[in-house]
Amino acid sequence: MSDERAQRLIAEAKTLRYSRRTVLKRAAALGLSAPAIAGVLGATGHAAAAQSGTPAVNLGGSLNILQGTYFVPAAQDFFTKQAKDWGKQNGVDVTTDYINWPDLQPRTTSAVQAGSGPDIVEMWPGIPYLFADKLVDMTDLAEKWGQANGGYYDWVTKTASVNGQWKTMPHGTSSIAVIYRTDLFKAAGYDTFPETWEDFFKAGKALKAAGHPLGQALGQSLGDPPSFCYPYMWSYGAMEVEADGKTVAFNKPTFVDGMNTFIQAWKDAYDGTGLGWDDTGNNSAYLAGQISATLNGSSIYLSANDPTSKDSNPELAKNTNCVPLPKGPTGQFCNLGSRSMGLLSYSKNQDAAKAFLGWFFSIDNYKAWIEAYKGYIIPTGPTLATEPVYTSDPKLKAFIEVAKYGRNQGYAGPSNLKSAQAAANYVIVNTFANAVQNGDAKSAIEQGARQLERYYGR
Amino acid sequence: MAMVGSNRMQNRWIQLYIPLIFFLLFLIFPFYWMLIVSLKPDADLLNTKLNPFLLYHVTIGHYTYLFTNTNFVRYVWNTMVVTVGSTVLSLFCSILIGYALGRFRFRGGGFLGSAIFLAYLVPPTLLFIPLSQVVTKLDLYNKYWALILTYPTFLIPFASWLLMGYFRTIARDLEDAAMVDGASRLQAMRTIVLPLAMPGVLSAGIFCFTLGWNEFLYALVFMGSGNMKTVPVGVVTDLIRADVYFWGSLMAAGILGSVPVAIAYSFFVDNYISGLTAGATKG
Repeated sequence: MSDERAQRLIAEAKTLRYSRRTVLKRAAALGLSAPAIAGVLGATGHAAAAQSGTPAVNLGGSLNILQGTYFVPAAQDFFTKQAKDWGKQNGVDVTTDYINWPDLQPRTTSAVQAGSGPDIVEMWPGIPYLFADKLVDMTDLAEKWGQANGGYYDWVTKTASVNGQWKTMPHGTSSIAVIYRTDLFKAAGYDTFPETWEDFFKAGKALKAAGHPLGQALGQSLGDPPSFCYPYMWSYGAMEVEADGKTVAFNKPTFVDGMNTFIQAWKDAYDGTGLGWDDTGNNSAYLAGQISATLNGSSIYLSANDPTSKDSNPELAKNTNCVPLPKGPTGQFCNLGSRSMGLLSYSKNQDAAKAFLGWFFSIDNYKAWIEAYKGYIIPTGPTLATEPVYTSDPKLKAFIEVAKYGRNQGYAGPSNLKSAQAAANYVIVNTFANAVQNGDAKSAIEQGARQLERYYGR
Repeated sequence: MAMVGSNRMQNRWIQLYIPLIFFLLFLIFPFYWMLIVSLKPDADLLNTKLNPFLLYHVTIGHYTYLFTNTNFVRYVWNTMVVTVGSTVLSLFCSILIGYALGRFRFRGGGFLGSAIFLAYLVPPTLLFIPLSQVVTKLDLYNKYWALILTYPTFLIPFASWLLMGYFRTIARDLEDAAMVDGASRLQAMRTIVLPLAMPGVLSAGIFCFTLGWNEFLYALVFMGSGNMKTVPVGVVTDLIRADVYFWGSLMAAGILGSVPVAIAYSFFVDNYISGLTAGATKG
């Protein structure tokens, strides 16, 4: 494959009489390896790569990459080093910036409006829709990456592509599972974790009576509350819209029944203060030993299990296990969406940016990155799901297992502007919060359906 | 008589001291909370069996982390540069605007005064998009000047309005007398009016300093790359990792970050109060 591209470039360079610099830029854009580039340079009459001390390939210019702050600091340092090393090898001045997740969007908006700023920006699920016409098409690279990974999970395609067109490069996401205290569940008579929501709530009732309720954030926060509410809704037969992306399918009798079950469970099994929790509330409550189970990313377990972490608690880590979300009458689901890296069209160094992305999205390199991330980020396709970083610790297996039944926000349609608006206005989460506060599942769901009509029916 | 004195004392307590105590608790509590959280070990922060309002064990670990694992000192320096720069620039412009609108009667003056105040009501969340284009065109992105020049868009309107009211409280005769004695308009303004308006200028200055020090959105989008972060942007970037918050260090940054503002207030508090009230009630 690489030879074929190299041969094509040699022919192209000879026909169009490319300069050495143009050959290097094209070679980098094609993702050729350093030896292949040396071969092309030799065949086209240019000097081969320079000796040590100077870059192997001199793409020149600068490249700024903006990402959300990494949960695992070592992984952030690793990516910075990866990027800098690549820059040195290719003669590009690479800088990396990390900001708090919710701040990525205003920063990107400002950069796009100004036509200046970071060259490559990390985007959250659905965000590529917002900036689709300001992004450089990534179809070639994305298709190559998909082939190398056994294809893409459906939730990746629906959240990182724009109507099926790859405008960004998906790089996976943090996953979600139930994190629970094995010692407390055992004491309550549960040697194995309950498989269905109803059994989970029954266990929760016993655990609450014993002083350790279940914990669930239902505040207006983008992480943990939707991670519970969307899968619960799906597992009771409802969804935001049908596959046409317009017909709201939220107010279903099975979902009303499921909501009534949850309202009762909230009283019997849950810590009532969860109504005010954001994404950090359940972490703190679990690490404090206040609750017996919660839905979360692997951050709780990783923090407790890491001797260098501020929240290190080996005893708690030993008594913690992680499992996929329980099943409902219509199945077992998980709310997932892929993050991705977008190359902004205003970038003055698009060749270097493409070359960097081509290099980053190579299997060996990506593997090293997910290893540095300790498995916190799950990959975009099934091939890498068997990597030891996901399977060596049995307690972390759940986080990769849920990738098989992940669904995107906006399902059965894609994660587009409409689903982003519904999510940003917390329609689904507020439906649950209203239901447990008012005790009236039917009216809460009807109200949620009316709001969804406003977003999807336009 | 004793009854009368006792009643007076009782009324004083009900009408003054008790409300003051509540008000004081209300104002001091956030600082107390920041202080104790910044001094608590992580184990105590998570221990729900302990009273969260009390300090059982003390650690300076959060402060150490703040200084060793983040560029906090650099962030403070950046914040100081842009805050002082934008405050000086805003005050200079606001004094001229306030003086002109407060002293002179000219066609459209009233409209201009209202328009300047209305400009203050335009939310930064709307302004940051066009301003980002200006910042880019002037090639100021990620430079101190990006904030020194954009902060005045929300500082000047309010400061001008405040000073406009204050300048109107100063007797015109003093200025006229100086000009009769041969002073030019600018000399009269500089040597007679400005010293008398100092409480108003200081209040406007403190106002600008506080807003500039705490500003987040412009600092994030115009100057948030590498080490060029201000305290509000830098601490949330470095001390919030996904759903893991470094509460102790965040609170330590909150406490230390409020020190310069507290110092500014403590020096000029008397002038600040007189400046605000004069501008508000006389005109």
